[in-house]
Amino acid sequence: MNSMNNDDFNTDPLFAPLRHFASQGDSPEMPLNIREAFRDGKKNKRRRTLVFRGLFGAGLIAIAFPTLSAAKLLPAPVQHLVEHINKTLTAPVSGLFGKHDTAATPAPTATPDPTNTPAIDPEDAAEVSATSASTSDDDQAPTAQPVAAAQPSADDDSLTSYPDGDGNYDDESNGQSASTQQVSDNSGGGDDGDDSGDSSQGDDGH
Amino acid sequence: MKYQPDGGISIPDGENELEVALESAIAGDERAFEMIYQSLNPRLVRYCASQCYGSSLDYEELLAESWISIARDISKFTGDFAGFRSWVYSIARNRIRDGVRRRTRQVKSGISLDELHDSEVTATAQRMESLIESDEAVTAIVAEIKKLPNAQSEVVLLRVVADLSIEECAKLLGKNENSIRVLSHRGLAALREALKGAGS
Repeated sequence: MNSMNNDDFNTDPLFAPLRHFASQGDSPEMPLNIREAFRDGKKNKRRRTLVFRGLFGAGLIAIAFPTLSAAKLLPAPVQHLVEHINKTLTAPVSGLFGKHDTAATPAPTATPDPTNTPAIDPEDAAEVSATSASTSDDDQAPTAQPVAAAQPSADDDSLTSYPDGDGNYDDESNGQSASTQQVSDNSGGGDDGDDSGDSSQGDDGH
Repeated sequence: MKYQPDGGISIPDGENELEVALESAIAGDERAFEMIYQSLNPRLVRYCASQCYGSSLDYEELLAESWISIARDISKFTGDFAGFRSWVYSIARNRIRDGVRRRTRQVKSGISLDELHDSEVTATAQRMESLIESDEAVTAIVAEIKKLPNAQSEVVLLRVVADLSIEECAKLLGKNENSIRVLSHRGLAALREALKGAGS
């Protein structure tokens, strides 16, 4: 077999007819169906561009408007609208998260926590409310006040306030202290450890 | 790009003009696309005709399908004119391969070869004859090319008829440049031997 370069084809007379055949340049008019296909391609390209721009613009708006709204840079009506849309959109999601958190919260245990203040017996509370009602009638104080005082908490100053030198309580806690004294008196010595402070206050006060 | 005063288009000779025309065609210029069509079509016709030679495939139909695909998708093309030419030939090559597969399925599904030969092969052969202007020498060369092993035949047609470079052929066929050089060398040498033998 003779050695032959790739370029030999261009000079070898043996391939002259094929060279001539390959390089014949008849240029007919472009057929109509190809022309229509080109126009279709142009239309598709324009549609693709519009869709891309539309999606890009929508994405920008979706990012920019909540940000501007959070920075309070939007006019009031637009801001109101954006917040409304934001709430509407995030409500189902936040609802889902809320449910999830509730489910994840551990159930309360039956063991009482010694650090917490003891719960008030409902019967005691009823008595307190009845007593405070009579007291409030005497003092003409609002009826809601003693009821509120009947549910003491550890932070309640009225239960731990002490009389001043003259034996009077502070002006602010006068009504409450009176009712508290009555509570301690009426409850008697049943709650020895818990109400000891109250009863002593009551004794001192009177 | 050269537009003639009468509205016609002159086919550009240089690659630079075709590069500019390609950019315009991608941007949507129909006349630029027509210029590219007129520049590439003659060789593409001969490539398709040579590939379909001896088969029952209608190369004109495959060529039209290829150009329709090219026209529809040219706006998605990115690259230079050499890359575009490779892309055009790869589309035509894929269409021909699809046509061969389709025809094989038709034969397997029971359509008799006699019917195909009677109707289509004769018509294709007639068009092929009209294309090569009854040049027996060209017919003989193309027939010898088709007798080569498939890989050599493809490389020779792409290098000789389509006038693609080694790099473009390698990219199109998915092979490295050295194997394209070897295939081209062996194919042309075998073709020369065959043509010499036929001539003597």
